Amino acid sequence: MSVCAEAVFKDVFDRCQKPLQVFLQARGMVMHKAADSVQDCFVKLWNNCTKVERDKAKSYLFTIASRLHIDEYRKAEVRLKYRRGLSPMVVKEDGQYKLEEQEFKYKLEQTINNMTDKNRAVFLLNRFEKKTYKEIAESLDISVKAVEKRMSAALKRLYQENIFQKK
Amino acid sequence: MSIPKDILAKWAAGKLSREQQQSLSEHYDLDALQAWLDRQAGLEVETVSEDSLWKGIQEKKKELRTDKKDSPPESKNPSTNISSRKPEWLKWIVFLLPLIFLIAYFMFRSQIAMTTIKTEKAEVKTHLFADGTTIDLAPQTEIRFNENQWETERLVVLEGQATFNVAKGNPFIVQTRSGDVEVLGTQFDIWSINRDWMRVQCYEGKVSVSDPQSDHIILEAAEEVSIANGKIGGVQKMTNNKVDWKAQYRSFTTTPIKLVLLDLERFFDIRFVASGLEDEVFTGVITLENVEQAARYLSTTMAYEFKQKENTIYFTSSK
Repeated sequence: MSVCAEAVFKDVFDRCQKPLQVFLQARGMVMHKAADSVQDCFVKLWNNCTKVERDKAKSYLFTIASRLHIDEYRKAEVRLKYRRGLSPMVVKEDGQYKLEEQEFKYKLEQTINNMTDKNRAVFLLNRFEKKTYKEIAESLDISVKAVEKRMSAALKRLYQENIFQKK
Repeated sequence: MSIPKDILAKWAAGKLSREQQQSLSEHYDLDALQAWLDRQAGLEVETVSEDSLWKGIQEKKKELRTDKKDSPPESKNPSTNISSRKPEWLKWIVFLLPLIFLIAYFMFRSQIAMTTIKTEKAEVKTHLFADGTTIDLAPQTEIRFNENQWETERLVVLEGQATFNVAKGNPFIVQTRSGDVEVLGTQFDIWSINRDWMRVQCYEGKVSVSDPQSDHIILEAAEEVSIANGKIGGVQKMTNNKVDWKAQYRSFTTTPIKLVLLDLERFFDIRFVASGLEDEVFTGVITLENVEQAARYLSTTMAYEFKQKENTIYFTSSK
């Protein structure tokens, strides 16, 4: 079935909308701009639905997303939230626990936003979108070794900013 | 001993041998790092909801539906579009315009020359004018005025907070992004942070305060008024007819927490975080002498808990 069928198009949308949003946020677009651009990707797909096969739709979308002009004045503003169903059991009486969770989320956000664009992109795609280094290499059109270097740099920063205690 | 630049990534993906892990653990506390990563796994990147995204796509599809059959969406050829061919005289305008601006600038430069005075965080300044007017600037404040025009018109542009002691004379007007204050009396304080919010306190005489829609009211001694979201509120009596920040305390009347904290940050060399609590309102007086006292008072009044980590204080609700 071609992508032009409404049901197929919706299915592609359901599978790809979130990874695409994260992909663009990883590359430096703020949440709303990324969402807007993702909409444009799907509209492009729709307009070219006769030319794209169903199983190639995902990579088509990601190619369009990569080609989107990313604002020169982009500023990383990645915000995190707790996963539905996996959020820590917030014990109301223990204000200390709640404070620590909020602090953890805030510190992680800061660290991520302070990373270089390249490192952040790899970190988000691997740790949040669960992409393998190989998949990331293909998406970003770089070698696996380059992905590993950027990921290591991101982890190192995370370690130094949050774990390494300098006395 | 140098570590290969890709080693941490390989470790995270579980690609290291026992031996390699051992030697890496001499440089990094791998258990701590793993624990941190596990905790991170419980979080996700915030994205726009599926439903609103889908709606947006449907709307964009509708817009393009008429074009779809006529022209390929990829190519928009501007050169074939007759209406977009630029007229000849446009070229002349593009050339002359900068020239015109340059000439105008030099001709009127003396009239538009503005003096700027600025204070940084935790810094205060006072400026004395030739006519005897003084302006005391609170921290993180900027004022701009044209000294050449002072004889005919006393106009000051304000961003931040300042206390004015105006000598009698020509009309004295203060412009801020959230409203204007015209002086009919002598002593007043204006606190303006951004376009949406401003507070004016009058200590002596009268001032006329107007919001961007030109709604205005007149304040008399010991009265204050706030402009919130561009609308002027009701006049309130001040409990203490004194300039609060100079007396080492801050008084707030139904002020949103996010503005209270933004304000306190100017006076202390510290950062405040209160996620989710920003829109709650606070009324009260907070000391500027000691940051811990200030945080404690705020917490007691609002039923918060606070904790200081390095240079940041975190507030959470204890309700």
